[in-house]
Amino acid sequence: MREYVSLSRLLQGVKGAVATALPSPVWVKAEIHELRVHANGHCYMELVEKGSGRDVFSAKVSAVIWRSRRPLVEAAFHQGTGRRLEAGMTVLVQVRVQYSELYGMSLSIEDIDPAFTLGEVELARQRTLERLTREGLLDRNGSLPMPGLPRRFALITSETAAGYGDFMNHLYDNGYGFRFYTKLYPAPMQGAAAPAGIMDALNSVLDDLAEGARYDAVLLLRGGGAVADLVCFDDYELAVSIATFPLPVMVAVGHERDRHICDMVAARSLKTPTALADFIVDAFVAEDASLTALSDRLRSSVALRMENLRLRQEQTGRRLQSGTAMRCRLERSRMDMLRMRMKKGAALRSGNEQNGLNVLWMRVRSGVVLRLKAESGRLDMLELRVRKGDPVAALREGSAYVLRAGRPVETAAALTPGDSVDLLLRDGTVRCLVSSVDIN
Amino acid sequence: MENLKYEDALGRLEKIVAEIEDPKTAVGDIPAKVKEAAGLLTYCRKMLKESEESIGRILDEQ
Repeated sequence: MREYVSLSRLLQGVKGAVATALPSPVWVKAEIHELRVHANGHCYMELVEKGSGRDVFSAKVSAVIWRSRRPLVEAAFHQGTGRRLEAGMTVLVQVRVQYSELYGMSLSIEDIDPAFTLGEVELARQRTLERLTREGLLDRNGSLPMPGLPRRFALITSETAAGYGDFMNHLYDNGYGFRFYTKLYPAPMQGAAAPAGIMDALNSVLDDLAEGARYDAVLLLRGGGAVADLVCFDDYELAVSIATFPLPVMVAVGHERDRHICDMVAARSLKTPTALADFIVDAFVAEDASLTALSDRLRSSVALRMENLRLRQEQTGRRLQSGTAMRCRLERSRMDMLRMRMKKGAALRSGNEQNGLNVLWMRVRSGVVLRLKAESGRLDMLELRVRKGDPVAALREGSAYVLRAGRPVETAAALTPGDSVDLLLRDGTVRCLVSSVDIN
Repeated sequence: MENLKYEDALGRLEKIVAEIEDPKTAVGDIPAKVKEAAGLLTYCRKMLKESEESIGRILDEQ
């Protein structure tokens, strides 16, 4: 018969060997694969170490944080990382290895190093950031043209988020009467479901855009909360969705200290929803101030121009008055001169004409005299010829010398009707036919 | 003659003077020409005087 030991004896041996080999707590790096808090207050976990494949475990063990240790461990972790323990986290924990003949081996977590987790988170975040940079996605959304005065917004947030109410109050009760349009696309804003929920909301916005909705920008916001709640905003897939969204995305996920990857890929990020609302309203306030300044400049320019015009008008009026008076004086003077010239000219012309007329009249008179003298001379010559024996020349005015057949006719009785006779006058001869003869 | 322009009357007067001075003009025609010339002369002098007076009045009114 073979030798054997009872199971309990064997496991007691294992328990003793474990206690001997690992008498003190040791620090272990592991990933929390599962985590649940039991009603009894103990926190049960399954710690794993992943092999080369992402879902292939190379080691796995159960662990527990006893109710008595939980406040200490969790507070230290939260204080150091701002996060709460959750599945998927890589942690560095101080464990005491314990072995139970009944439940097998498990680790009792006694302490945790938050700095290590923080480093792991930061490392993962850096890797995501480097990848986005390599893919050229960091500045893509920021390069989209942002309207100077964005007014219509697709709002992605949780209806119950405190920041949502603050944002709406600041935006709508802006104190200036600026009006905006927002449409809410609800999404979970914390926890593991947040990235997928937000991406669904972004897709809904895209659907609405395709159906004709008009937005100037997409706003992604949530107010405050623990750092742990905001880890979702470092998600790579969500960052890609934001970076490649066709509208500018403005992010305000409400934490003063950290800047998340979503902040980096968005067109603009602000610390809080309130700050985002103020940023939008401030753009309008600045524009309003600019318009008011322009309006004031316009008003003063117009007033100045009007004043200049009024002065010019007055000057022109004065110039018109003085110019008119001067011109009137000048014209009056010219008219006086012309009047004098006219008077003198008329007198001169009249005198000239009078002289001309006098000359003409003298010419008439002298012409007549000369002509008469000439005629008288001619008469004198004729008289002289008469006196020299010319019978014709001796004729007196109204007398004629009668010839018949070239011989003088001395009496009427020498003529008979039908005779042809020549009457010699002082200036010529008239041939006549005797029709009758009357003797005295 | 009433509608005759001064220049026309003057032209006619000059023509008559030339005719009187022309020996070809019959002596018997001269009295009539002198009479017409005297009438034209009176007419021209009258027009001249009237114009002068009219101009004087117009100028005095200014």
